[in-house]
Amino acid sequence: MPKLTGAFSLFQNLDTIPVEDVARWIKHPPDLIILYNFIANRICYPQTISTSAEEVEWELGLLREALRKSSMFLDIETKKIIIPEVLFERVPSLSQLVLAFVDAYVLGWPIKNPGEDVWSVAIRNNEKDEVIGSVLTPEFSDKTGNIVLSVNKKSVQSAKGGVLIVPCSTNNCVINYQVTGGKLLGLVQGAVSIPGGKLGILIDARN
Amino acid sequence: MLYANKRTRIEKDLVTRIHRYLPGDGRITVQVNQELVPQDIIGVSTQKAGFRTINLAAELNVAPNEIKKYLQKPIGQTIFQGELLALKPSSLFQKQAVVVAPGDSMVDFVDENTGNVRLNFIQKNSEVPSAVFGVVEKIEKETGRLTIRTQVTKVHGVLGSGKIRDGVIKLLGKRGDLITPEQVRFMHTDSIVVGGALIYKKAIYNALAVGVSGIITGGINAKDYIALSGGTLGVSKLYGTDVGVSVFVSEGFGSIPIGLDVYEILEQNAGKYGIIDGNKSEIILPTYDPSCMAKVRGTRLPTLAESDLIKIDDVEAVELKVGYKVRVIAGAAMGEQGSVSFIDQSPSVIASGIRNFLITIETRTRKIKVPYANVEVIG
Repeated sequence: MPKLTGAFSLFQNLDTIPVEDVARWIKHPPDLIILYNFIANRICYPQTISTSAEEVEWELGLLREALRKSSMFLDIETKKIIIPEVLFERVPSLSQLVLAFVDAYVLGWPIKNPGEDVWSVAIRNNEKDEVIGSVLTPEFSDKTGNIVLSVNKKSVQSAKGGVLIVPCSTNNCVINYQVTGGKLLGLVQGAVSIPGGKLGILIDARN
Repeated sequence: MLYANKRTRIEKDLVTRIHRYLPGDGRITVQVNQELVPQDIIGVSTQKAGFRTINLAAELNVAPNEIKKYLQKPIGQTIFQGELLALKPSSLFQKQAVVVAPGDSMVDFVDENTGNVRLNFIQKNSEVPSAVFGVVEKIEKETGRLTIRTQVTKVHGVLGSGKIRDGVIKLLGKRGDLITPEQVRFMHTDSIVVGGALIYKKAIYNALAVGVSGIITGGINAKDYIALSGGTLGVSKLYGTDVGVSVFVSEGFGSIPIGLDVYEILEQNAGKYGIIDGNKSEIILPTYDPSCMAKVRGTRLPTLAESDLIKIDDVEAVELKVGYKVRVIAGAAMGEQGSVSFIDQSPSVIASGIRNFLITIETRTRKIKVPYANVEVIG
């Protein structure tokens, strides 16, 4: 039987990623020699899994940088973020995994036209995509800005700089929103129907 | 069913081909199809005279301007291989330090600023022993290379760098030691040194400086490995790299003791001739039992051209079963080896929050539980 590989086998040239770039995603990074050895062992043994919360954080840092070097999991035409199912075995939390993709692909994405601030998220298994939710990235011009959303009669608020996940398991989620000091979909307030699922709606207010 | 990669680490009693080279200019004194024992002389070579610089201050642990006090031979005098070059008697706080000549040479220069002494080697003829039991298959007079069919134990590592070299296997310490530059000394010239859990970069540089043939280590820092392997972690096994010393890494990156299975074989072969192929991450240890000749005679290997094809991958996935010998390849227990004594029937959530089936491994000293994804089968 062919040898087992792992999620990181999806990426090429992981060893060319500067270890300092991976370290910047880690709250309390270890000595860079230790982090570099960790990354190298993941390349050597891609089927292995993290045995501590610390290692999960290191691995997500590596994933972010690997994604930044590869656009194969981002469909710009359909505004879809695609997550390979094999990654779910390695990360305990769906939201952690989705946030890694958001950080790699969406954070800092320049919003030139309305609609570029809404992305759907899908899990890909054998070329089939299962949509699990959406990511909203309102753009703020005022550092005190905030966004208020109403989803399924439940109201939530996020200040600029925050990240929030709102559950919405239905295929279509109708949201009403109001943005102070910024815009979403080119408007300060409005309503829109976006895909939901096991993730729900992730609001990334860091832009 | 749970699957894990199976990696062949040790192949015993394998009949294969090795190459022996005549150093310098020489004359091969054997013929094709001739049977050899280790003491047989396969050629006579004339080694070009060269020189060697030895840092006596470092070897004797004295200040550079004191080395003349301890030198046993004055400048211009001939000294023979193994003869005493320098001696510092023991004192209350320090052991005796002895330096012997690495080859027949003449003391040429003593530098009291650096503590170095330069020895000019005397050109001489030397007889090259076979060092193995085997049968001569091919002779290449232009390059001084002999191809010998012989029986060996082959040890496979995880990564490495450097071309094929040979030498006497010398153990520097225990399998879990950290190898410092001071442990690699000029007495290890042309040897294959066996380190421990980690070899520091400066020790590798020292090995290069003194002319060590090969280094065997359990682990290596990724940054240091990249410096040896041409800038990448994934060394091309088709082309390879070579910086002047061959390196064999048995376990992975970081400080990881040499695996028990590999270390026991190396201990058994300490002081004996061996071959290191860094780029293929292989150690080849000839069999010194005369009875192996029956198998060597009776074994026909593929033609030389076919056997030059490189086998790229020797890892495959197998179903994990109780009783299998495994090694741990991630986590705090990385490098430990033992037998699978139990496989959990349902997954558990481990400290990272990930769900995985745990297996119980009995090592020589304890029982440990690790995720099945973090083991490799080795037997």
